[in-house]
Amino acid sequence: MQNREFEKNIQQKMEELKFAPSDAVWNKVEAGLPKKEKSRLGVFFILFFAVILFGSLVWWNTSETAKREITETATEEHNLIGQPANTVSKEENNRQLIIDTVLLKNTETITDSAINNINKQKTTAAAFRIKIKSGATEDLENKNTADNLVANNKKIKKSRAVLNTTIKAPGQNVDDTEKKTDEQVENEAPSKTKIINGIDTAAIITENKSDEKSVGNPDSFWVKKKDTVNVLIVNNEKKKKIDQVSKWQYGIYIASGNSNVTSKLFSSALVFDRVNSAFASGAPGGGGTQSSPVPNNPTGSLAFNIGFFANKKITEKWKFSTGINYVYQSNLIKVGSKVDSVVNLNFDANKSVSASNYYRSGNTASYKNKFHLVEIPLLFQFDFLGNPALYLEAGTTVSYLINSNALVYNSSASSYITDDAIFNRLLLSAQGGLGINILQKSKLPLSIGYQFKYGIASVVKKSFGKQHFVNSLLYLKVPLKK
Amino acid sequence: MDQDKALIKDCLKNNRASQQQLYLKYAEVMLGVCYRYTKSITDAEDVLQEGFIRVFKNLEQYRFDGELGAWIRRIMVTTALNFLKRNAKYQNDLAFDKIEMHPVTNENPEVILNTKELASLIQQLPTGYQTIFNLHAVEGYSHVEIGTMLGITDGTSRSQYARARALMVTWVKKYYSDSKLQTYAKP
Repeated sequence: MQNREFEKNIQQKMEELKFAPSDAVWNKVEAGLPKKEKSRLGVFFILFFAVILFGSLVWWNTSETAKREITETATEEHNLIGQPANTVSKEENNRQLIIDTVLLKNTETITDSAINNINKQKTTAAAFRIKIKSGATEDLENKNTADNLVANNKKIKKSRAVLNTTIKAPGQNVDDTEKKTDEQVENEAPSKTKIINGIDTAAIITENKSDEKSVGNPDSFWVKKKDTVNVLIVNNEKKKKIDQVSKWQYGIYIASGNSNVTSKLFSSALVFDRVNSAFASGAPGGGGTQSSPVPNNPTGSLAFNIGFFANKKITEKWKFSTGINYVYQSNLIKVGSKVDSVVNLNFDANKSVSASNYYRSGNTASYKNKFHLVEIPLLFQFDFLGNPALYLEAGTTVSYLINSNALVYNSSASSYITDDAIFNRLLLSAQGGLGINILQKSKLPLSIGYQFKYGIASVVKKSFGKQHFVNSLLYLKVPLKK
Repeated sequence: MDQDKALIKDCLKNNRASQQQLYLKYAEVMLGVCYRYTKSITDAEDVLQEGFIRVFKNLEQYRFDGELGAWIRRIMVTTALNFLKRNAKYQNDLAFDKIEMHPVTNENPEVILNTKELASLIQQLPTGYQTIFNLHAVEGYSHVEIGTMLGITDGTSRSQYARARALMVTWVKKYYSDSKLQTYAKP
């Protein structure tokens, strides 16, 4: 048995061996570490706000459309009743009841008379929304049944309201209405109602008269005896036109196709910089004095996008389109064997990359460069053909690279390496395409088309070469709301 | 240990200040480890740098089942071996002959050298001897383990170690006798 006294002595002495490293060592270690998570948190914040913005846009669009309908009907009222809407307002002197939107989906009897006849009323109104304004606002919502209508009318009664309403069924003209009103309404109270012909499904009811001043809680509403309600029904054709011009259309966007990187548009030049610094600290081959083999250029591979789009018609022919998408892009590159060893490669005076493994130059294996991005397209669409509904689109896309494993080539080490530090995160692309709207009259109108996208900014920083995205995609847009 | 745990958790969150704190805690000792495997302090610093990058990138693999220092030390040793293998300056000297005959020296001379002198002596060994001497005598790896790490047989490792040890014993003895002479020479 060997006496290990000598080894023990040496071991003890060597335990105490210490040297203070120079400051440069930590600086290099720090440079080789992944960047702080802050930037990734930033992406999530951007995403979060983008989703909030998109949601707000949809909500705002919906409420704005409703407001427009009210404004439009108010104008109609002015014309048809022959009395300016604001005059009504003055006369009422803070005692105005506005029942702003009534959607009538049925063609049957729609009659409302004085409050003392209220139990007799029969209605099949599909949805009845009443909004009462008087200083503050109160919403009452009725659905489907006459009972609900009665219940609400009781509320009105409780507030000392007298409500006279006549609502006309769709398809009636003025003359018919006069007659039918007489026939249908029993004990009808005196009404100042005017009814419009050529009506489809929407109506507005406005009280236009009141006799007495109210007292008490300003949040309540005040309707006095003999008040009447005018029913104004809007021509839906006109409403639709307004909607078409002003409304955002939104939905789901899916695209799939091919992606690659190129040094410049329509060029097959190498995307890697072949004149990296000759110095490579700890690089395989140690010093780069041997001749470097030629690196391979990537070849195209799968790309897909999924997200939400929003379109807004600007004019009859022009549309603005935006949205938010998750983007996956990939390409393939031939490499040599993988080496699981820490390496620190210098690309130029200021750029060095450290990684725990690297790939030798070669053709023995195929490596997939993957890119995960979030993008916001800003496009203009031009409808150049009415039938079929063909359109051209062009614009720009702002995207943020969330993550990638893409390799860059170091000529001095004849090796491929990847690291978070090599990428430009914020990217700008130019985009163009052609599409067609199909099944526009069906319940599921679709848009399909082709898009070509070119990255104006290189996805890798200058020291690592030039890699501009080139994407060729077929897409499908499914509106969530027609 | 608990302090290390908190520090590791912060390092895993990529907290730069905590990473620097961990680095400062172990850098001096680990540079000593790297120094023993290389021929200069500059090369040792290169190994240290690569080693610490590797430590931080693989920190989630540390299972708290042993001393953090020992875990970092293993990484430094592996990094140093990789450095020697791929660095032209060391590559030729690292070739191990397959002769499994070796001198048997059971001498255990007193090691009166100080730490740095002893480290310089180890550095003067040919790279192959130096590596195996460090792995076996200092780190305590078995010849089978060394064989696996270096891609050689355990017999080759034994042979190389015996030669390295014989050289070291000679040098230590020489140093001892020289220093004795100097002591006697003093008035």
